[in-house]
Amino acid sequence: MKLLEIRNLRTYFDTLDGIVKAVDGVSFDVDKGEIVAIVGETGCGKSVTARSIMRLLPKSAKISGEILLNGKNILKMSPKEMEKIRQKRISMIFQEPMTAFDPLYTIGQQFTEILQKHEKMSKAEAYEKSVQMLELVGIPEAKKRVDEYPHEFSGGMIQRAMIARALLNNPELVIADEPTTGLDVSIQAQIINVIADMQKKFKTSTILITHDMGVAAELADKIIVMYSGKIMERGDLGEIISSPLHPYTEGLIAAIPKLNTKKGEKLHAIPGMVPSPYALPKGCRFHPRCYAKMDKCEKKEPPYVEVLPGRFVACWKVLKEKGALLNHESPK
Amino acid sequence: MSLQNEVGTKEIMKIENVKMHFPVRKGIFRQVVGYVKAVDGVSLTLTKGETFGIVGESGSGKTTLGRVIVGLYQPTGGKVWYVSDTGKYDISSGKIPLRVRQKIQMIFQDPLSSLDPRFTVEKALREGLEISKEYNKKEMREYLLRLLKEVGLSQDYFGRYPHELSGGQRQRISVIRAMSMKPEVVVLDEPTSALDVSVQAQTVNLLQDFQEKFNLTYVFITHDISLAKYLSNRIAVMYLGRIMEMAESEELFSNPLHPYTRALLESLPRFEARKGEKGKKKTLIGEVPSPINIPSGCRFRTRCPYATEKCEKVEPKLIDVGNGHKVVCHLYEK
Amino acid sequence: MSEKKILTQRQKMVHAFFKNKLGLIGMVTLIILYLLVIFAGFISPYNMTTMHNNYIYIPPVHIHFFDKKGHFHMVPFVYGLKQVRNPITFAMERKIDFTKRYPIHFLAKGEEWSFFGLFKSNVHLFGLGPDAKMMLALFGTDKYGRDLFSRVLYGGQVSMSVGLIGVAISLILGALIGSISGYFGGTIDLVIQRLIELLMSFPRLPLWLALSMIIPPSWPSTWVYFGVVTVLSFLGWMGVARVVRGMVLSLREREFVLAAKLVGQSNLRIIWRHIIPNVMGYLIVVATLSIPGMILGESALSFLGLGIKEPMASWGLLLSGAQSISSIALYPWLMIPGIFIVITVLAFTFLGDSLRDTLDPYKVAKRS
Repeated sequence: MKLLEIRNLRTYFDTLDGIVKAVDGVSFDVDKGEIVAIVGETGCGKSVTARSIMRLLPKSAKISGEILLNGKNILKMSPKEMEKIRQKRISMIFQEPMTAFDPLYTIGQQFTEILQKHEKMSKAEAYEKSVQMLELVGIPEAKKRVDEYPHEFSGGMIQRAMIARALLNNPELVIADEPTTGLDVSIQAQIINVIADMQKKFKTSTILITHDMGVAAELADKIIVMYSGKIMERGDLGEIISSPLHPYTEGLIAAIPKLNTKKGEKLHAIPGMVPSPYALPKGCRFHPRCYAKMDKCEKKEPPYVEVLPGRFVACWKVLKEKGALLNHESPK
Repeated sequence: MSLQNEVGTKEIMKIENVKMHFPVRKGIFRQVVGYVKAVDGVSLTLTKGETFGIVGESGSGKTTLGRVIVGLYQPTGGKVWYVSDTGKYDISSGKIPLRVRQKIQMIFQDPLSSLDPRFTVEKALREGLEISKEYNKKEMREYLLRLLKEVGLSQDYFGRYPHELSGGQRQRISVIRAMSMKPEVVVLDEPTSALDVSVQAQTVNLLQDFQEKFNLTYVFITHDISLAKYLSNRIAVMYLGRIMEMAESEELFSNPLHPYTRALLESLPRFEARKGEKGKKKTLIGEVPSPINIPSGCRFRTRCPYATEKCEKVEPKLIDVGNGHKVVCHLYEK
Repeated sequence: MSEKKILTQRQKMVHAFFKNKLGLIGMVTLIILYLLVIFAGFISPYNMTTMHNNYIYIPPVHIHFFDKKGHFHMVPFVYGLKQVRNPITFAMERKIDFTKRYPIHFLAKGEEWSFFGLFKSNVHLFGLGPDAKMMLALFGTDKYGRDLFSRVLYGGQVSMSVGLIGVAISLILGALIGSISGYFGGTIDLVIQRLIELLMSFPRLPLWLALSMIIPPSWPSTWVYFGVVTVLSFLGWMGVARVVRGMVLSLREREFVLAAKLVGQSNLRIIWRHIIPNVMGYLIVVATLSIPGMILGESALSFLGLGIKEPMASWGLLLSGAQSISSIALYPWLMIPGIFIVITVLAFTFLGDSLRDTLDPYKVAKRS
């Protein structure tokens, strides 16, 4: 069952230096009840993709393509309709939860207000529900802490409260933007557990935005690897991790030292750096850093095609090897 | 408490019971109302050519310890000795001769803030060399150019400003700045945590090249346990200003003793295709207490699953379990 | 890899500055005002101290292109004045004498003036010539028959330089004291901060008054001028010092400062090479925004007779001629110097606000 279908999403920004193609033709689906992780480095467009879905972008952004939620295009909705969708049907977990809460109101007051805006509920009921949600995400003494202000919460606790807030109205889709970045490993593990538990309980679909392949591996069912505004590879978690097809995915995985990497063994570094968004290379965006570069890569952008069932890749090398679906061209 | 080590042979730095307590002041006359005990009694010895990893979460005092080691902070207790061919120098005194000062360098976490935004690359790199007066202008340029090439950058970068460089390039400039001083000891304070993974690997490889070439001693401070294991010969695990466990890298990971070390290893994202259910990670309860109010007895007891009454009352001592493996925990007392 | 030239930080700032219309207006106004004031000798038709006994309290003259009969004249002119006895009150009154036309000469000969003592000339931008039986008093004259327009320009030299010099002194003092306080911290910091708080808690005006009392009345006017500047800047550095201290406190822990220490740089050199340049942008903004305060301060002192003294002039001193209700009612043009004060203060404020917005590093980062 498809909950969200994204077709050829493009988000461009007009800046002083020129047009930035932050997201440049991205297509993927999210099924009901699954966690899809979008993984990539700084500037790959993963956060902009998330904010495009929420339609939380500055005015200078131009979005095109389709974002279908249960078959209905979000991009065609009026701002009023969108207001009803945010939080109620799609909610977001932010990287910096402290700034996502209003410092002047208690957590309970903020939860109650959100609940009453979207649900027919008395104040007492909403307050009761707020306490329950805080208990669910594992905040000890929830009855007492619901009346505290955001700054009285520690880093790990405020992130739990953020998760509770995202789930208040039992939305169909939660977008978690780097939910564990900046947290210590021991706290990160706690948050991973909370996200996993909540997802089991509420059967919510989740898009997890992260730069950390390890966090993605802990939580995701499917993985999307982005680079410079495009999807390079997409598929099931197990397959991507154990047998990456795209040279970029391969490089990303090999670049991380694992506990079994021996000392003295050189880490596999991807040479060069992420291209400036103002000067994207011609052809495949990854070709200047790619070990398997062919002539074709410099000239023509590889199509994003399904090379194996459920496995999408944009790479000439993979296409050549897999052969089968070569006649399948990407939409212009 | 002697800390002989098995890895290296020649002692290069000796840190003796170092304490760094920052006063907390309040009121009009800024009376001291308490202390942040960032580093609270750390002893260790560095040997020439090794990489010593210091692992810890935020608030463990690892960065403060790093800054004490390079002499940026004068510790409120204990001594830091630097042992060179020319003699033994007290780094903790605050009065360090220039020649010695330049031999102990540091590479910082944030490559952008570690370069003055108003200095070109060349000006930034020349600052230290101009002070040491080892080279004339022409030699200096040639020397820097050689280093620049070594890290894969061209002469064009001399005229650039930090904001015109990428994160990885900035970090390479910081590396050259430290290396141009021909240091003996380099403290690496989370040198890759602000970088993307693909660039992180480049920087790590670069640091290893320099170490091999000049037989450098590294103190590698990080929260990334896998990276620490990959780079270090020995590792110390810090918690609230103290070392909890210290061992050779392989030994620490194959045989972690301290409950805290074990919990940290459990918390790591398992980087493999997941089997079974999501989540279900064994985790530590709660969060790191404030370094102003350190728990009595064993400072880890508030989060320790094995905590007993003894842990609350008696502070555990450092126990040598053999093989250079040392741990601070009542569980291993005989 | 092809690389497109990305706009530098500086280019972006310039771009942002020129987009702010109010700031631009402020800057252009100030440039015009400073040019007027610097070349006061050339632009003004008279010297500021010359008394014209026959032209006491004459109102601003009108400049005409058409005469009474409606004839057009290529060269603008003014009419003369005649003294008429009022048949009822028997008082002497001035009436415009339409029979006498005095054309305005450009580059006219007149009184000798000197350009800050560098060279002398008797050519003025415009005037009626040495023989005219009339005064070209654009803003009217005062009780000694001195040309107010000329006096406003000369007075501007004082008013507009007091701001610059005063702010320069308080910036240097403030930056130095602030850097020391922030960089070294500890007891030095404690003492300096308490001193600043003490000085700042005094009401400003009485303190100015008290300090200006120290300036002996026997001093020549140039000394008085520097005395006033000193008084103003003596009370202006605290704000700067506080701001600089705060910035130094945060910069001190910045890693490039630590890195400079590690390569052996001395504390004073670090302040000079790394910290001051990095607070400079902010200092410029603070300076621009505190100049109006200085100008107003000088005006207030001079207005109350404790600042600039005759024969020098400043806008505040000129305004003191309009101290009573009767003089405002009878000779409203004496208020003109006040308009100049208002325009200058506004122009500096606009420019300062605009600079603050452009130099704000967070905004610049957002634009990039």
